[in-house]
Amino acid sequence: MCIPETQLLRLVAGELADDERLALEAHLSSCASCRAQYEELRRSWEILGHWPLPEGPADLTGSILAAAAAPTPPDAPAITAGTRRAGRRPGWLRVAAAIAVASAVGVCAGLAIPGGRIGTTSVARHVTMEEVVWSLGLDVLGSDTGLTDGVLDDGDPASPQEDLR
Amino acid sequence: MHRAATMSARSITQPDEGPRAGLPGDTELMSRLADGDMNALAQLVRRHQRTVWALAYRVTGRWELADDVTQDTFLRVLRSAASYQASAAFSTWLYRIATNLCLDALRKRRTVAFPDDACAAGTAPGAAACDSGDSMERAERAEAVRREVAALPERQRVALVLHRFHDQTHAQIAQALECSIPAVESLLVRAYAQLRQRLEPWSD
Repeated sequence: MCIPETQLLRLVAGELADDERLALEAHLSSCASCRAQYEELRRSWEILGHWPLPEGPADLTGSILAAAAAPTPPDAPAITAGTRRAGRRPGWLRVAAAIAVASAVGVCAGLAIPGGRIGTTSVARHVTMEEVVWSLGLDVLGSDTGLTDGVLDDGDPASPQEDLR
Repeated sequence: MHRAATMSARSITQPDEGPRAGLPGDTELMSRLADGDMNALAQLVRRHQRTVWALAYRVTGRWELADDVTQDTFLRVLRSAASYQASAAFSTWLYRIATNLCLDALRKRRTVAFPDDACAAGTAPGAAACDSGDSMERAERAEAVRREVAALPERQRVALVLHRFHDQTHAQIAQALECSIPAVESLLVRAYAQLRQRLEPWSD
């Protein structure tokens, strides 16, 4: 293939200036290999357009402003995804939750939960540490308790090395 | 009452940086917000929430996560208002925040089975309306696309959604993902290659 696929992507996405586009189209008209690659990209592009987006919630302004107005404790963790919509858990609850998760991990480790539901999916599977943390709402605690260290690690498991800067 | 909207165009409405008729631009609103004007936050939310929610929904695949990411995005906008630099385009900055929160949400849910689309499964608000007017084939194709995008590695998924559904250029995606342009291009090439192979049976 003569043309880099990234350039063909730009053509499909309509990102090229007119002179670049015309030059590329002229090449495609005479190069079967590049034209085939372009057509595959174009088909992928088009079929992605068949994924409709729900209209979504009417308006989140009210809940956002309410959360913005909620008092933030001085020791509250930084905002991460999944922060509850209003308020934070008080300090005593953190201690209780920390004790509870330690017990829950011992109970849930290695157990299968037949018929358990995650969202809309019914599955029979093993419970993981992450699910225990999440189900108890401990994810908002971050590393404050130390018990979620190593559980909520960052990093893409598919390609931990490839996507670095 | 929610209803499914067919997205025949490339993307939803893009964030409008400049002032509309009689309305302040994003930079002006951020300046007001830095001064404590919460009405400025409300205007930013109304102007951009749909964009942020759409990104979060397509990346996380979960309605409630999309709501959370959207809320957390604007809370972060609020908390960062004082340090916002107008030299950076507001939409670029907003996408970076939302992208990071989407990736956070995905990593926290990593071992949870990726749920079926709540709309198709009938558990999202107004989900009953999803089937009205849709042929079985269109619904199945939409589900196939959703499922294959969800199967992409996280960063590939984010790059693809930003590219295909949010009109973001390679450079803009690089800013959102805080990586190099070649890294973005690598993500996109691999994402489209995987989708091309898996969605071939559904192409016209």
